[in-house]
Amino acid sequence: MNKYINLYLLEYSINSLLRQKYKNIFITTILTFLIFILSSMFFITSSIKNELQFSVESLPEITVQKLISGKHYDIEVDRVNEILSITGVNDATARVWGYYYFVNAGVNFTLVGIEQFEKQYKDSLQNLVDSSKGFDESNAYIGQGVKEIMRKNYFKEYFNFILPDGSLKKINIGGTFKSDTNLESNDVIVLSKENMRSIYGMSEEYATDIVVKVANPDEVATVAAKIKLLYPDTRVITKNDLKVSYQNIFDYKSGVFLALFIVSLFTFFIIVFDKASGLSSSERKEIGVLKAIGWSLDDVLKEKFYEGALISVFAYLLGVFLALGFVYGFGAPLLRDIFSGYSELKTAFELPFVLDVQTMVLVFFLSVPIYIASIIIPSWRVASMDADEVMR
Amino acid sequence: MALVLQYLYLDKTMAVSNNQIDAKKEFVALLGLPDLAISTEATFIRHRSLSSTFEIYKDDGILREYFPSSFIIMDSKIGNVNE
Amino acid sequence: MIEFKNINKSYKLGKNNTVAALKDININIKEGSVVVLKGSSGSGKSSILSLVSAISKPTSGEVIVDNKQISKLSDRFASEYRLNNIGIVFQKYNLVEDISVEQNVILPLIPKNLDSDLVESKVDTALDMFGIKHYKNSTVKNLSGGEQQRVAIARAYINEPKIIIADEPTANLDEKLSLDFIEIIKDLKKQNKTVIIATHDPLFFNLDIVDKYIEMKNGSII
Repeated sequence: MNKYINLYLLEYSINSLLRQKYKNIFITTILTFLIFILSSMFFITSSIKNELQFSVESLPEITVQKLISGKHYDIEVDRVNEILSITGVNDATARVWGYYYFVNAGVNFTLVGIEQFEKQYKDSLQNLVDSSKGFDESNAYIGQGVKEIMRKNYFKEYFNFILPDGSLKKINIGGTFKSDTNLESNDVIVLSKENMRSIYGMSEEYATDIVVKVANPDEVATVAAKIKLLYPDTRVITKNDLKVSYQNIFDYKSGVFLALFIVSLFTFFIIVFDKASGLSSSERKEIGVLKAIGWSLDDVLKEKFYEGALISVFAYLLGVFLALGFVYGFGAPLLRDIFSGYSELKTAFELPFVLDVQTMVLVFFLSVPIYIASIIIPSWRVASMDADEVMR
Repeated sequence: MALVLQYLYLDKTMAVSNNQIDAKKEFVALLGLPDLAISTEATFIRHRSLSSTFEIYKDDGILREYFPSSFIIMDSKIGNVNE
Repeated sequence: MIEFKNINKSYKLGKNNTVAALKDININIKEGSVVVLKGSSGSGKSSILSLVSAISKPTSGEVIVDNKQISKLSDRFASEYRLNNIGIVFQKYNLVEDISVEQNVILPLIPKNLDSDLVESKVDTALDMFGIKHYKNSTVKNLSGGEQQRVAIARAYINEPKIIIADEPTANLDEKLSLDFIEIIKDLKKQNKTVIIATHDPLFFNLDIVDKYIEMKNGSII
């Protein structure tokens, strides 16, 4: 241990830092704060990405949407039969889903309609829901967030949807989705397709979109192309497209990167400028004296390195520690509003904890070496000069 | 040291358990809808992967940028993918 | 042991403004001798001290110590030379006031990265020799002028260098302390150290222990 870390040198560095206590505490605080913000943002984005990865495999291989003049339109249900006849297609289902604006609370719900008599749905639904009532015509299952909003607006056992013709449709609240699925289900209401159609005033011949199951992943692209040929007025989205879009959700073009980048740059420039604008005369004299005593340039730089490392590594560990607590312990109170925006219907932001080593390393390299360099460089300049001023 | 402890603690409590992952997968399989319900006000953010860049026009006659979510979350390119 | 051959040293103080601090200096100092550099400020005493300790380089000429040319050493070798062969007592002591005596005296040992036992024993020896052992853990700024000087000397001594340099050592001391200092010089001489003192204190002008006087004026020896 003695060979690698010179303990006396370390002691001297610590004392040297303590000699300028307040300045160093200030710098450490700024660094810690910077690292805290950076890490928090990275943790949030990385958790969100991870969350998306968990679910991507379960998504349908192909989704077919009808687009006219760039906007979504309801798609004809009999297209399903044509699609089923394409080789490689296992299954094709028409989906009815959309949004419902709840005026009283000013929130948007996502409504999804499913066929209540399909057995596969019944079983999986029971698994996902803390429920009281079985799934049938008159019931709906809702997400946690929906439940909260409804409760606040005095809808405890049932809910009234306003139909396009102005009349009310009463639907009972059959159960709530478990909090495990919160991030996906928070704003969702699941109803039978019949109910959906009446709420939207959609006829039996139309659906919102069509999902297609393809058994062989290699064939997906071909099937997608065929569907597109078959129906040129549609947009065909494959699971692969989804995966790709998840990759770039927070990429370098998004605001996250830009904001972080600017913040870091700005703070760094402040610190580095303060350091690199030359040492004070007392610091110069100190280096001069050390050199006169017999310290070589390397020794002086090593000491400065210890000083810089002590501050920046400490700030890094503290910053990351605080960020972990902030994001995963407290749900990142202020930062999450950046992601949720003006949502009235906020999720609990219980992000899954994932240790992303890459991110931690990135944050480390963005902060520690730069700070250490900002300490060493001016010292190097001074220490390389002749120290004869020290004699006068 | 504290960092290690904190990591271990978080791993135990906040990390996603297998049960939870299964629940999430089932839910998504049931609905077939991608994207998380983190930002629900703008449909082109809520169902980002299924919406097109023109969705913003459909949502509101007065073109309003849904800041800061749309600033943060990069627009899904799916809307412009033709092939 | 120490030789100055045709040394010239000039300093640039700005554009077209050079000051000649030393002009054609030739000196020969034997090992184990005590040498006093006399002269008023600006006469070049400090420059000679800088050159002996390889803190600065001559503009022309050679400085030879122990048969080695030190006037053209690179920074790394110059530092090594200083570490092992030179001990400097500065006029203003240049101690680090906020830390203890022990931590100050240890400074020249730090680059050597020695075992803590060895370091301990060296420190104790040095403090003992100059009578400040009981101040080992005291903060330097709480000590008197005389005591601080002893700390400076202990620091200069700790690597047991062959050459000890003192720049105006008695400038801030009263007579009694100055005499104490002279006693210390006697001890050092007994250990065969070469001591070079730059001073204009008349107390040194007729001492038995001084082997050689070099009087400087305006950069030349008179």
